[in-house]
Amino acid sequence: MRLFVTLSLALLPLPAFAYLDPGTGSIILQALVAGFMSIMIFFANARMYVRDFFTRLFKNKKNET
Amino acid sequence: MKPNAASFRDPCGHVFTQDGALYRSVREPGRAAFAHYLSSGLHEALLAKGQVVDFREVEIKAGDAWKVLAPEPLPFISYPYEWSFSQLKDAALLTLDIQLAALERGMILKDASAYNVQFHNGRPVFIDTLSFDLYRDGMPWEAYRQFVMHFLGPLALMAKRDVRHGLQLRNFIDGLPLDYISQHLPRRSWFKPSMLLHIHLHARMQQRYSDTRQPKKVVERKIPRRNLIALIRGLRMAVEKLRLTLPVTEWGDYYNDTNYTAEAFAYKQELVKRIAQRFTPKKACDLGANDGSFSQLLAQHAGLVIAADIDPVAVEKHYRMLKHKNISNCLPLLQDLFNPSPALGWANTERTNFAERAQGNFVMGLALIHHLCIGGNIPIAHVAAFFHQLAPVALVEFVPKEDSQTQRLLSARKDIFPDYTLEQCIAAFSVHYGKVEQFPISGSKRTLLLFSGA
Repeated sequence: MRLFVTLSLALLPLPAFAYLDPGTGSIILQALVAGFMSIMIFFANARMYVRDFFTRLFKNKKNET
Repeated sequence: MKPNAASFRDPCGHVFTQDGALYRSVREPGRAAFAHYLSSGLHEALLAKGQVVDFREVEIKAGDAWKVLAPEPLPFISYPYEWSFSQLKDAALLTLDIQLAALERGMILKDASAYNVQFHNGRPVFIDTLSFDLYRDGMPWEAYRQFVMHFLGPLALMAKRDVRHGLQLRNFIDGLPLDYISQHLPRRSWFKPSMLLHIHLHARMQQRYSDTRQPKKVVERKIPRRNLIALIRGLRMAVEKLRLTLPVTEWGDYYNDTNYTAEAFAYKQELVKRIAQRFTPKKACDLGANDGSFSQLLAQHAGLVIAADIDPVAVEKHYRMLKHKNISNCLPLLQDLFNPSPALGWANTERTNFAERAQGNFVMGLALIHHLCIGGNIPIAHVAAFFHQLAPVALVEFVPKEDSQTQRLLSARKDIFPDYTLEQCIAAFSVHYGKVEQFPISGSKRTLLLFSGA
């Protein structure tokens, strides 16, 4: 039993100097959400880039005519 | 040296008072982070935007402190459960903006407590200089859950369910539990990505992993910096999108529904202005301030006016108005005078009660006393004692029984208030104040009473 408790304590999911208990579930979710948000932002940027590209292209053509 | 009762959690330093001045010690565990906070230019950058309080280093000894700082003193400390929706929202946005700025300079906020933010000169400012930690690549934001519990969750409940959910911050001193937030949000919020991810799934993950004996490798998940920034941006967008549509409450429409004639109202305004000019209080308190029309008159001649009201909608309107008008020395505050903010937290000393914090040079209660005495059965002698506890000068509007507002309060109940008269009111306040001046408000049945002197 004592060994079990010691092992459990050693494996506690807290970084040694953490000031807050971040929560295991919270950290796992955070990693997933952060990845998801990053992808969303990538696509949002890509969409903007493509839109800007066509807007510029359209404008240039207009200027040429 | 007296340690501050709210500053004991962080091993990196503590707040204390000495000879009446406030100091913050920086101890060895906080040395490297604090040094980087200064050398990276983060403090300068945040200060330039008015987002943090300034401090100076002082040469005084404080136990094992490596450095002692003297932070810029704040005239009043308020708490999140006393803020309106927009005040809490502005504090949330400030926290995230500071987090983004910190990440740009190799630092990260190690906590996201709403108590790290105070309102100073009309704007939220971050007061905890030692909240900044060194950022290492791949580090998660350990305060993500705390941010949701202190800010995003309460704001979502206030906006989507009931603005009074904000008051729960008084019961849950470290933020609303995730499962509480998730349970009380409307079902349709499951279809909003920000609510689904940050709140509903977060609450479930929290429950699933509530047994802390999980294998270590699961939590040593690295989060690339780019993703972390995306997370903060996502949170910012989620907070930004939350809006409070103002319902009509009991008081929300008060000034359009009183029995004042335009002249009587103008006369009352003029009187308040003149009296404020005469006393020019450094710190004043307006009790029952409603949307702050009279607090703002007082503020023209005061250092700071704390404008307390029971109605969250009135406090919200007041805060929005002050922002719009750029008035910086008036602080709207949610406060139920029948049950003002008590002393809270560890050993009942972490958060100070309202009466202690509100003590100042001037207290004003306009169109209030009939609500306290007749609406709430508070004996007038108790009202007088409370006013005197707050300030040595009191401006009180006596609203007699003949007034239609008092009639309204009496319409559904038996009149058990034989002592509710102008004479008794003066007598009750005169127990505490040496001098009384009476100003009958022409065009109404009301009288302004100014009490001063010992």
